[in-house]
Amino acid sequence: MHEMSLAEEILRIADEAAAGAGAREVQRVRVGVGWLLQVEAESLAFYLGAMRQDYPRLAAAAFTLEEEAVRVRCRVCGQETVQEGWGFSCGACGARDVAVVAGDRLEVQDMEVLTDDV
Amino acid sequence: MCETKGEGHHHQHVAVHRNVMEANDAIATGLRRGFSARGVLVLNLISAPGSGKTALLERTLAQLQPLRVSVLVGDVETERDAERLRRSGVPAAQIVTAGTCHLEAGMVESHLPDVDQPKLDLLFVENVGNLVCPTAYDLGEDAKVVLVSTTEGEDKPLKYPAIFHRAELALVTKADLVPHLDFDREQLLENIQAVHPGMAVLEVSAKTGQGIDLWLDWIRAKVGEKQSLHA
Repeated sequence: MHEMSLAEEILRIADEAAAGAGAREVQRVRVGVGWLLQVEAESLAFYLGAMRQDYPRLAAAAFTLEEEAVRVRCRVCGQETVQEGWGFSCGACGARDVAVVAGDRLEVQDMEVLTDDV
Repeated sequence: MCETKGEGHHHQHVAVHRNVMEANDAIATGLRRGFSARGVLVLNLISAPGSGKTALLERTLAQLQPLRVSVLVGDVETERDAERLRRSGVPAAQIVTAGTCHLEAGMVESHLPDVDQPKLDLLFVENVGNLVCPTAYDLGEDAKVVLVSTTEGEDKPLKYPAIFHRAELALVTKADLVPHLDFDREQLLENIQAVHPGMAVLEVSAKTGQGIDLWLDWIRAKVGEKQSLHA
């Protein structure tokens, strides 16, 4: 049900961006899915497929969901490393004082669209 | 934007880069600004169904006087929790989500007038019982508080790491039941620290009152902190 709300927002944003670009038809939408959000990709894909019919421009669009790894920046050594699993720590020096810098967002990244010739 | 000529149409690449949570986050930012201007502390309580959020609040509300406190409580159906909380003498309103598994900032915005009061010090938002969905939705709160009961097992933090990572405080509820359970307290505390190093943890029982003083101290300190920023 969480994924349904997210699908609604993705479709709204994609449709708005398509309208802004003067698109007649959206062919592909790329969505970045931060691992930290624990989004069920299969469920999200299902809702996107079922609900895209509500938006004529998106009715045939393919949605690519790309999982984004979690990256942390160490407040001790300053290195940025990819975080594997839970138990947050710096991949370089092992310190636990780290800040998440990527992998915590769900983002409509870009789209392939068709526009009419003018 | 790059374009390629086709037959009667252009094929275009459109960069979007928009956060899917943008609509919710914009409302949450507005709420946070409004609460900050008034010095109102907002705590977002998140747990699995049946961890004892409402029972804890019932125990807590009466003892928070003279602070002015209001409660918004989210549930998929029924007004039962708000009715229970109103008996504590504080304004409480139910947000019935009708199927949605989490509260969104817009729901808090639209229901706030139901419980708002002049010189409000503290707003509790009791989220829908769920450990996954509510985590992603900013409600304009100062802190998320996650509850895990002793009957749920030690591995909850490892199964639902996002909420334990984001919450500021973990409350281990139903602490009075420990003697009756095969509950590995040390393991739970270790699992919480693995997901959120340095996380504050309080062990409480709404039934016996164990640990409630420390929880009240934590709340009062946060309220004081918020009001000193506002002053």
